[in-house]
Amino acid sequence: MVWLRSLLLSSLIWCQTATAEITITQPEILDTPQHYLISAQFSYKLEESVVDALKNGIPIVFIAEYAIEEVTPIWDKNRVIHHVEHRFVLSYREFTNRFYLISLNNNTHGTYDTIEQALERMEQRHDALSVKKDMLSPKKEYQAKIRASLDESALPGLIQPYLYTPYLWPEWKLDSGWHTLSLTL
Amino acid sequence: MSHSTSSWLSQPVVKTFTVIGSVSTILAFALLAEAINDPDTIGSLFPFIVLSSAIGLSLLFSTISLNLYKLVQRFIAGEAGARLHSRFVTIFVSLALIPIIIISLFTIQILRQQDRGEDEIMHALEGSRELYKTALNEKKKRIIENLYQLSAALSTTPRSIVDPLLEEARDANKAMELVLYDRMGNQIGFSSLLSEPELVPKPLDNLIVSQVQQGLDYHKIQTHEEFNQILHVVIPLRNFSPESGEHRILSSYYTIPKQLELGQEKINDAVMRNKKRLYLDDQQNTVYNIAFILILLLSLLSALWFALYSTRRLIAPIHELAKGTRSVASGVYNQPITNSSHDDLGFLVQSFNDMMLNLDHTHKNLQQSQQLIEHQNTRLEGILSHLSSGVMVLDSQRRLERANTMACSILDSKMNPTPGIPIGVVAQHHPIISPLTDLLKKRIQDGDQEWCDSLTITTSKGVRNLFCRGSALQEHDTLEGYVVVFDDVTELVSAQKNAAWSEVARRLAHEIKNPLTPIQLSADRLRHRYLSKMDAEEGKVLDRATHTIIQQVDALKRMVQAFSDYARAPKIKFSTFDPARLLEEVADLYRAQHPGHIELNIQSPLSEIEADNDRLRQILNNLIKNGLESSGEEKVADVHITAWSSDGTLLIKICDNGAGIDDVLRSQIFEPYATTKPKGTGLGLAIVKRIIEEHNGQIHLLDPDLFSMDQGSCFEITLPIRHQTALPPATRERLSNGEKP
Repeated sequence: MVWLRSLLLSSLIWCQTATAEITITQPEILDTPQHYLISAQFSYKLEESVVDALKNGIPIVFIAEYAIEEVTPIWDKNRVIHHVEHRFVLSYREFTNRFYLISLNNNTHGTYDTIEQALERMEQRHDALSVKKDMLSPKKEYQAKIRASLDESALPGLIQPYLYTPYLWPEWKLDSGWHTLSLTL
Repeated sequence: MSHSTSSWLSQPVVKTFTVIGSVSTILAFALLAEAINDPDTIGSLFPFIVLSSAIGLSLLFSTISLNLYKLVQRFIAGEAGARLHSRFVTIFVSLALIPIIIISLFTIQILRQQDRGEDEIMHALEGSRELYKTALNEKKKRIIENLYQLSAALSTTPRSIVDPLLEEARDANKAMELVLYDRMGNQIGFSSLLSEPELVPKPLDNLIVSQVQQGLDYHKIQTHEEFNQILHVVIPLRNFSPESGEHRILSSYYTIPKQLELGQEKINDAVMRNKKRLYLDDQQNTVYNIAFILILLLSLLSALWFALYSTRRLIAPIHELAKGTRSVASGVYNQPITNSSHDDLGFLVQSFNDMMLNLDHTHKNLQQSQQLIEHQNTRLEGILSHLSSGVMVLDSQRRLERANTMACSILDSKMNPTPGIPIGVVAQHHPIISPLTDLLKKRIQDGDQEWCDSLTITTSKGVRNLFCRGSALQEHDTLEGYVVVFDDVTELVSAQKNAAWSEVARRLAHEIKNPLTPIQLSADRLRHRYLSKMDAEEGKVLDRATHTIIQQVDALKRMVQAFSDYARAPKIKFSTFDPARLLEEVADLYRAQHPGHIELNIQSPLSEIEADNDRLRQILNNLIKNGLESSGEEKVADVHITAWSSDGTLLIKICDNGAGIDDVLRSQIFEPYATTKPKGTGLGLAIVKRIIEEHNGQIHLLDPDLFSMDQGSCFEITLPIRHQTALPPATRERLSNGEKP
């Protein structure tokens, strides 16, 4: 299933529209005495059809992923040292006409009058990944990777066909792709 | 399809593509059926549906395109069966498309009508929400009324003791928080169950202050972490007492009643659930539309492919039959048609193969017969070409069918025996053969079955005597044509004439020669006895008369001698001598008599010849003398003598520029009494010819256009150098054919 999805997505990647819906604006690695702290700011732009789905009771789950990888030769797969995910559920309540944002990691939530306010909250920098320096070897090469995307598996089955046909419905292609930062010890 | 396309698209490749396309199409149908049956699975099935449909559609489309391309190519090329194939494809496709289109139209209509009735639920839910809002507004209204009842006390109470009053009022009104602000929004008093008082109190929000300063109430439902939702109400507290007090602002927080909150949650959930369902129904319709389009496309292409496939299978035997018919039409009988079916068409193909087998057998027999006939014809041609007689064959319509080489040679005509040309038309183009065609026409009109006749024709070689035999060709009492066989008997007639003349000359010489001497002696005696006795006048008469008798008798003697020479030529005495010297001597003799009129040209050193010197001298004298006298008595003609050796023969050509010889006389010039001179005996050339023939040689009168002089005649003598041998065969044949040297 995963390979087929990858095949379809990669075969259709050429027709991805130029307007990226999720972008990583300020990736950063903070060097503290004991830790490396990786964080970023994001920019979310939802198309009308996605907001329409949201207002029609489809909760949208966003994932912010952070990873530290050991860089290996090109023929080998990089080894993941540490990986964390932050999940945010954005939903809409018709009765109060407000948007609800819940962080599944710490179970905090907030309500917002407009979608822009809710997205603005999501875009704020949040310290994401903290890795102890003693976990990393100075003799090896590491890189930090950041990605924000739509959790496609959380969408109803009837929405998922849109994800496989981004040339027809590019608004559902919400993925920043992996942003890589070189980690110099 | 082009040859290059068919080369790489071999049959196994096409079959593999067809199998993959069929499997993919069936899989796509199955997945679509499952997705329609359980829409929740569409998310996981969609990639497989897209993949299998894409493979199925592309392979079906490719196969159909290839088939249609082939069909169009065959149609354009006018290939056998292509037109029928196209017609069948059109019919089958129409039969397949009509039900698909009808079902599709009904399906679209049904899909459009499915989503009715959902709005009523939404209207009911909207009504519930309005009811909830009304209840909440009533609550707000009561709270605000209660708060306004506190305005008189709270606006005039001094700031220092306002907190206990607020505490009491909060409890009395069941508020969660009461905060009193001055008219500028600075906090005066505070009583709250929600939070602890802050060291530095926060002023009221400016927007709320400005709204309240205008005398308007502010109320809003806010979220709260503990109580979920709380109602925030802010009212202005106006002071109407002139002695004390001030305008103030009262901010309060109330919890939403649990019943209302639960109702709100339920209504919200119901609304959102319904909206979600409606939304997903819309998405489902979109997915159904996609599925419907895929099913329609797959069905259409499958139907089209099946139509092409089944028509190809159906047409294949007819196509093969048409190809076989064309093969038979082009003369190929040994290519039987492949018969793969056992139905009526298979029986037809088998019958056709049997018929082709019979035709092949018959054709081979016919070919053998034709080869036999051609062989016999060739043989007949060979025989006819070697015949010494001319043969002409006419069909029943008197059209020239065949004429052998000798016929053309005898008739001196390059007749081309073109089949279908009547002999009368041939005669118009070749007037020489007109006497023969006239004779033939007369005999045919007379109804003679067999006949023989003689006739003369005038050719470039002179008048020729022909002896013809004709016969009508009958087969089963049906006239098939005519055959005419003729021989050139000119030489034979000439020889017969020569023999007759020799006999006449011999008898004439014998009968006349004997009395001539007594006549001459008697005349001489009369002259001697009586001339002296007569007077001068009478003696003169006697002298003239006897002189005339003696002269005429001399002339008669010479004539008789000539006849005698012709009849009994002396025996040839062969000796070997140089012919060039002989030619020089004879030429010198005549040069002395007629200077400037004799020209001798010896083209190459001549070999010594074995012949009778005197006879050859006689021949040369005769021919040169004839040449010099050929211009008449008053004028002497010029004579050109040319001699050369070739192929064991001596050739001498003697030409003059005299009056020439008439065409009529040309063929008889070597016969006795054939002369152009008024006083000639006509035996000179006959004697010349006889002497040359005794030397195994030949003499010919050449055609006028073969020598350079404008008029006159030209004789060519051919003599073998050795008298024991005749002329070389090639030379003899060439000369006997009348070919010009």
